[in-house]
Amino acid sequence: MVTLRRAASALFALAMALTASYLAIGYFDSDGLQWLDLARVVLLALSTAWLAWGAVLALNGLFSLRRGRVPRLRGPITVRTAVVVPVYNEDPVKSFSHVAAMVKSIGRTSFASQFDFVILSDTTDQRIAAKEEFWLVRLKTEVSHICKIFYRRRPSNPGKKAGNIADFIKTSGALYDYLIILDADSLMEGSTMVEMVRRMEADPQLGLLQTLPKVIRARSFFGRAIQFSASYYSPIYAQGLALLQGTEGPFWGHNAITRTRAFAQSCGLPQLPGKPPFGGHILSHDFVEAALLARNGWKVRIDPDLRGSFEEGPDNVIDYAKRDRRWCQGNLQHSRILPAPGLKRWSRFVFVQGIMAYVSAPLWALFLAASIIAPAMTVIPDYFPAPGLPVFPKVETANALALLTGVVGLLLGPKLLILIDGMITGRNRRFGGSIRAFCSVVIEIVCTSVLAPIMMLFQTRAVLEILAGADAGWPAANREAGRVSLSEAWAASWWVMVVGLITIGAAYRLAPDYLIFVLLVAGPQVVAPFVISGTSYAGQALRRAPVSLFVTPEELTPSQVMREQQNVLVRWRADTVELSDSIMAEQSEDPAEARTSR
Amino acid sequence: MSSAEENLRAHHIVQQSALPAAPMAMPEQVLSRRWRGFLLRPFLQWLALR
Repeated sequence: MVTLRRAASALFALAMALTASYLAIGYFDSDGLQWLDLARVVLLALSTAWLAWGAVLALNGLFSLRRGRVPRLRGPITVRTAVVVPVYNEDPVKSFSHVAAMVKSIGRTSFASQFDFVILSDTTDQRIAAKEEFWLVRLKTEVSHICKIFYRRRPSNPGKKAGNIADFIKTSGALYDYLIILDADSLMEGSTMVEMVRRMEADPQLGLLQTLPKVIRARSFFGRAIQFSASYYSPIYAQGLALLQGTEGPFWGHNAITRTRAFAQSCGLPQLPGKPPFGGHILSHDFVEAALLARNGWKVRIDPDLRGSFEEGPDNVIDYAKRDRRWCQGNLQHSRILPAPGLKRWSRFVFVQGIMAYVSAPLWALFLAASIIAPAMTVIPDYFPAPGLPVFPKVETANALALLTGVVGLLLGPKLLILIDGMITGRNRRFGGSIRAFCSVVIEIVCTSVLAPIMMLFQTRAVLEILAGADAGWPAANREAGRVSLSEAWAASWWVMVVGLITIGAAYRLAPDYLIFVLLVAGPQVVAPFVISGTSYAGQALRRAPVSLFVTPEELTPSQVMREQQNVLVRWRADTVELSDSIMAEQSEDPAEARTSR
Repeated sequence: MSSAEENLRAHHIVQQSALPAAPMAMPEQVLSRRWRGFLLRPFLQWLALR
C-alpha cells in the first residue's frame, strides 16, 4: 500500500512537471524555440515537480482515512527512560525552566520514578557555564524530589549535538531503555512522554518515534505567521508524510523517543573525509540517523496524533535565514551520504528532498533570469515563409495563463483545501472559528508571497556560498531574539534590494512585456529591509485586532506544561533581577572589593 | 545558612549531578562506498593473472 501510494504521488509530481513543460514549450515556441528556452523548460519542470511534491503531501494528508488507534502497551511501565536535554550556550534560566516544568508534568503521572532528566551541556562560554551550575542548584532544589536530574558538561564539543548525545550513550546509555531527545527550547507534557514509551513498548522493532512539535511563544508578526502555519497546515502535511514514508520515517533531531540499543547500534556517526562544508562532522545528523536506523532494520515512525509536544521558532527573518543557512549546509552535505551502502531507497529519496528544498531556490532564480534574457535573444520572425500573404506567429497566451494558474494552484491549492477541510470537519473552531481561520490563511498567503522572493535570494546565496566552500559553523540558536531595527535589517539585506533593482531594470530593458510579473518577485526584494524590520514587530497587536489573526489552539488554551514553564520562568527571572540588584548593591557598598573581584 | 555553607551545599549538589557510569558501545557506521576498489578490482584481477 505504501509503495502504491509512493508511486501514485511520484506520478502526480511527474505529470505536473510534464504538463508544465508542455505548456511552456507551446508558449515559448510562439516566437521560435531557442536553446535558452529549452533550459527554461528544464528549470521549470524541476521546480514544478518540487512544488507538486509539496502539494501531494497535503493531498495525501487530506484525502486519507485517519489511522486507527496505534498499538500501545497498557499497564505499568517498568522500563527506564532518560529525557535528554542538550544545551549549547543557551540562557540557562530559560532552558532549565523548561526542564522544571517537564519534571513537574511527569510528576503528575504515576511513572515519574521511571524517568531521569539529563542536561548535556556543550556550553563553551565560561560565564554561561557558571550560570548553568547556579541554576542547576535552583532546579534541583525545586524538583529533584520528583525525578533524578543529572548534569554534565563537556570541556570541548566534538561532533556538536550528535557527538554530545553519543558521548552520553557511551558513558551512561546502558542504564536506559529509551531516550527522549529534546532541544533546549523543547517542551513536552509528561503524559506525552509516557504515551511515547507505551507506543515503543508495543512494537519491539520500533527504533524511533517522532512527534510533530507545535511552535509556541511567537511574539512578532513573522513568528506568529510561522506559528500559525505550523499549527494549521503542518499536521495535514505530516499526516501525508506519515502515509508515504511507512516505517522509514523522519527524525528531526528533537521531540522524539528512541530505543537506546537501536540508536547505539546504528547511529555512531563518522566524520566525513575532507573539510567543511562537505566534509567534517555531519551537521544535519538527524536525517542520517533516521536513515541508519532504517538500514539496520529498525522502524522509524512519525505519529502526528501525539499531542503535548512543543518547540520555539525564530521570531524574525534574519534568525530564520541564519538557521536556514545551517540547515542548507547540512542538507547539501547529505549529497556525500547519498551513495552510502545499504540505505533504503526512501532514505536516499529523503536526502534528495532535503537537497531540493534548498536547490529549488537557485533553480527558480535561474528560471527568472532566463525568462528576462530570453525575449532579447528572440530572432525576428519570418513573416513571409512563402511568397504571398504574410504569416504572423501564433502567440499561445492561453498556455501562459494555464501555466501561471497551475503554478499558483500548486502553491495555494493545498492551503485552501486545508481551510475547506477545517470548515467541514470543525477543526477551524480550534483556531478561533472559520472566519478567523480564513483571515489568517489569507494574510499568511500574502505574507508568504512577499517573503518568498526574499527567502529565495537568501537560500540562493547560501547554496552558492556552500558550493564555493564557505562553512557556516555552528552558532548558538538565538531563541530570545526580538525586534530587528531598520539599520540591522538594512545591514542584512541591502544586497537583496540591489538584486531586486537590477532585476527590475533588466526586465524593463529586455522584457518589458513581463515587467508586471517580474515586479511580483522583485518588488518585495526592493523593500526587503522594511519587510524584515516590519515583520519583527507587532506580533501581539494581531491578537488585539478586531479579528485576531494567527490564533492557534496552543494560544487559546495553553497546555499545563506551557503554563507551568511560564510561571517558573517569570519567578526565576524576577529572582535574577533581585540577584543582580543585590550584587550591584554589594558592589556599590564596597567599591574596593568590587575592583579586586574583577 | 551562611554564605559559605550555601556555597558548599551548591558545590555538593553539582557534584552529585554527575552522570552515572554505564557504558554502551556505539560503533562507527560505514557511510562511504569503496568506489575506487570497485572500479579497480577487475583491472587488478586481470593484472594478477599476467
